[in-house]
Amino acid sequence: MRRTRVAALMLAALCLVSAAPPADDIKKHPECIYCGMDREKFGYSRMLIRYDDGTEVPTCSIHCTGIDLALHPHKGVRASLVGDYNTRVLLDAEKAFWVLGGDRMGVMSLRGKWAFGDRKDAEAFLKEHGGSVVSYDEVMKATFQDMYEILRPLCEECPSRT
Amino acid sequence: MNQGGWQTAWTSARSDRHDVLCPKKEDRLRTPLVSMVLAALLLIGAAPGGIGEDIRDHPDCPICGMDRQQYAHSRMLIDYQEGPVGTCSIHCTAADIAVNRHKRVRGIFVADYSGRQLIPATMAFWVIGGNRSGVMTQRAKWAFENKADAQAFIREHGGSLANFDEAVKATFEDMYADIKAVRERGRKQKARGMR
Repeated sequence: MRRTRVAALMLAALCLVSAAPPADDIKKHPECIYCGMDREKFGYSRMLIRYDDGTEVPTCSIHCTGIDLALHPHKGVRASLVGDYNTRVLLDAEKAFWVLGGDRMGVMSLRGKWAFGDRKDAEAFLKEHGGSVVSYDEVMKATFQDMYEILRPLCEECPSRT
Repeated sequence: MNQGGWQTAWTSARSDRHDVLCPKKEDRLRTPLVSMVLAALLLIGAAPGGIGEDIRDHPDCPICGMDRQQYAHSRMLIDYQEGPVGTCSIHCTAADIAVNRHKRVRGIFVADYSGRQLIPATMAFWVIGGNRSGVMTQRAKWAFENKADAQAFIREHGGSLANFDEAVKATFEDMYADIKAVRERGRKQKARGMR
C-alpha cells in the first residue's frame, strides 16, 4: 500500500515536471541555430551565448556553441550560459562543474560534456556514469578536439609526409 | 533522449565525404587510363584555376573576413558540391567544414607556401610550428608542394613535417586557444581606441 502511494507521488511529480513551462530562453529560441535541434528536448545540454554587441546565440550543446565561437572569433563574449544537466536551469558555464566523458552519449558529439551547478550532482553523475570533472576551458578544448572527428575521414588515408 | 538522428546523419555525411576523398583501395584508379584522365582533369579543368584566380572569386575569408590576397601563402579552398568556399587558413577551413558537416566535400586545396599556387591539401607536405607567426593561430601550419621546400623552411624557421591529417588535428587542438587570443587582441584594440 505504502509502495503504491510512493509510486503515485513520483508519477505526479514527473507529470508536474514534464508539464512545467519551457524556460524563457527556450520559448524565445526553440531551436539550435546550427543543427536545428529542439532546445527543449535538449534542455539538459543547451547553451546560450550573449555577446558584447547585444546579440545572443542559442544552441543545443557545447558543440554548436564551439562552432559559433569559431565562426565569430572577433566577438567579445559577455556571458556563456548552459543548462544544468539535472534541473535544466541556465548556469554560468564558466562556473559550472563540467563532466567530460562517461557512458552517456553526448549531444552532437560522442564524448559527453555535461554541466552541473552543484559539485555533488557532478560527483553523483561520475559515480554512476564515469567521466571526469573539468573546467569550462578544458571542456571547450575537448569540444574542438572532438570536432577533428568530423574532418578525420577526409584525410584518414593521407600519405605519410614525414 | 533520442540521439540517433544526428548520429545517423553525421555518419552518413562522414561516409560520403570519405568515399569522395579517400576511395577504397580496390576502387582507386581501376585502370591507368582512367587515373591519367582524372589526374589531367584535376590539374587542368576541375582544379582551381591559375594562381590567384580563386582570390578574385573569393577575395575575403567568410569566417574572419581577412584578405585572401594578403594571406595568399596560407589560403585554402574547399570545393563543396554545393559551391566552393575560399578561406584564409587551415583554422578557418576547419571551422567552415565543422559547421557545414552536411555539405559534400569534393576536394580541399591549399596554397603552396613558396609558390602560392593551390595544391590538394592531402598531398601537401605540411610544416607545423616554427618561428613564423601563423595565420589565425599561434602555432603555424604551412603547406608545401615539394618536400625539399618544406625541409628548407624547417632548417631556417623550425617546425616539424606533417601530413594533412596531423595538421587538421593540430588545428582543432589549438582552436580554442586561438579563438581566445583573437578575442583578446580585439579587446585590447578596442580599449586602445577608446583611450
